[in-house]
Amino acid sequence: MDLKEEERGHVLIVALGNRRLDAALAVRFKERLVGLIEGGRAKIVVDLSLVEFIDSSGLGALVSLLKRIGRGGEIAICGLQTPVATMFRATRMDKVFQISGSVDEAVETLAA
Amino acid sequence: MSLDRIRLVISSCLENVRLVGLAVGRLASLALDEAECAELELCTVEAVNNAIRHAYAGEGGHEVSIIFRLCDDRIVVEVADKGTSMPDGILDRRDDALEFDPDDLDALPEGGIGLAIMFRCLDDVSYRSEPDGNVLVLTKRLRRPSIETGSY
Repeated sequence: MDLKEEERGHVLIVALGNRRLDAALAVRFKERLVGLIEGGRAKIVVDLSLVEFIDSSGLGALVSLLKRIGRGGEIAICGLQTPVATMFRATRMDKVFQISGSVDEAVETLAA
Repeated sequence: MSLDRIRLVISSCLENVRLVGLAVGRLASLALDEAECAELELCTVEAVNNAIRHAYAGEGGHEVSIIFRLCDDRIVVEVADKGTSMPDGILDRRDDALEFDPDDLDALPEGGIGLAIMFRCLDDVSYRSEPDGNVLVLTKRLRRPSIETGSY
């Protein structure tokens, strides 16, 4: 798994370098991010701009992180390519997640 | 009449699912637009993931075969396994796992939405369980006749 982390103030940006967030990757992705949340990270931007495909397992991993971070923290998603954005809409997950166009916008949302 | 048909076979490992997903998405571009191809790729991936996870209980080394058929008025993708069948009537229940309250954090689905996605994206989803295996049949109608099929 290719995951890059960058800190901006209290916000952690996690950029996934894989092209597919699918069932083959979802568990590892989730475990790594759960580790970050358990390590005290409460504001996380997930940058999916390199991801071309996401399936229900990938979405499930993101939902699971949202639950894990709970009301005390926030997750924002950014950089959705068209097929990925379509998947968020088709599953109504666009109503669940804070979705921004760019990393900067997402950081701004969480820093506010 | 079915004019074009190809059979793809993978071993039951989640890492292999992308191979058939990408292939079906690309094959579908013969007759579908980009968004529809993405939907068919997604539904195929969901169906194959389900076969690996449920029919084979996540165990590797079993065969999942995918038949892609391009017909005059539709594309049919059949996902076949030789594992445990789905419970009777699971497709008839039509529980819409996607009808959740977006504000109810605890109730958000972390899984189990694959079939609901298929019902939303496809024109028909059917399942048959036979002595030699199970087949999930995904059908996507063409909004325009396929220009790539025809007699030569």
